[in-house]
Amino acid sequence: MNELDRVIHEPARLQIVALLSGAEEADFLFLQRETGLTKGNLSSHLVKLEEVGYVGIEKTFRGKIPMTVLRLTAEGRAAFEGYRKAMNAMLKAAALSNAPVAAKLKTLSAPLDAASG
Amino acid sequence: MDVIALRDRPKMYLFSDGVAELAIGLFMLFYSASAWLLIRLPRDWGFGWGGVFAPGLVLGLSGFGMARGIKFLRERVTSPRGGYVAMKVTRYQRLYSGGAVVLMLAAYSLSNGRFSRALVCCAVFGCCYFFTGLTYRLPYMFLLAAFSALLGIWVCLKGKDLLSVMLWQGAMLAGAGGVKLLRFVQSHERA
Repeated sequence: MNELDRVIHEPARLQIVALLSGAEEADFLFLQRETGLTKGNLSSHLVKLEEVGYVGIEKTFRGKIPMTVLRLTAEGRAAFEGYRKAMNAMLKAAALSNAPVAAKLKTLSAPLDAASG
Repeated sequence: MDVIALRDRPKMYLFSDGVAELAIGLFMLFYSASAWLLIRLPRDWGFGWGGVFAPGLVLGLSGFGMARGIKFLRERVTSPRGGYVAMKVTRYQRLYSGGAVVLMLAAYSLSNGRFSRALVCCAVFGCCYFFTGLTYRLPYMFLLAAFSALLGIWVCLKGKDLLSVMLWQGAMLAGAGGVKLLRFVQSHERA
């Protein structure tokens, strides 16, 4: 658990980072629709991600329409990739150390142990 | 929370509002309808050099109209409802697109001989719809692929030309895009 990035591990921020990892950039409204978070909640999570350098926030215009564009920085992409790998490794280790699974494996291997013993 | 599904969600953005299908369908409709009309105009109307430049002009105007139309619909209608996403284009996607264009041009060149261009057009469209539906998991793309297959059968039976096929393909694609856009507008409130 110590290896997991605590900033990304938070569920709302994980959703945000996962969504941004699949695009070059996205606007605030897209993230709000996809995550289902309120404006205030989403804003506070984005500020947190910006503080650690994972997300870049740009306030711009598209024609005459103001929009807030967000993109994952190189650090953010690397952090997400690292988080994904760490989580996969942890889940694999947990599956192997899972007592019911271990017991099943033991019963399956018992005849082989008896034959070799 | 399915993180992989979330990561793939932005890819669906381009297909969520039907704007691309509507614009491409209208482009094909306009271009093929214009070409159909130009062919049927009396020769003594004095088109002369105009007839040489007209197809290029129509193509240019259609393309310009399509680009402006997409921009307008996305900025004014769909982005205020669903947001905005810019996709990164990977090297693999560039190679895939380039390869697809080469194959289509090769198919078009080959079709001058044994197989009619109309039939090849149906096959190319059908394959594009099918693989797009498979890649992005869009059921309506399979319907469009089935329609292309039916159109191909119609071409074989009735001996129809390329322009007729383009008209029908354009109409079907524009119709599908229009329905999708309407459903998107009805299901997404303006922010």
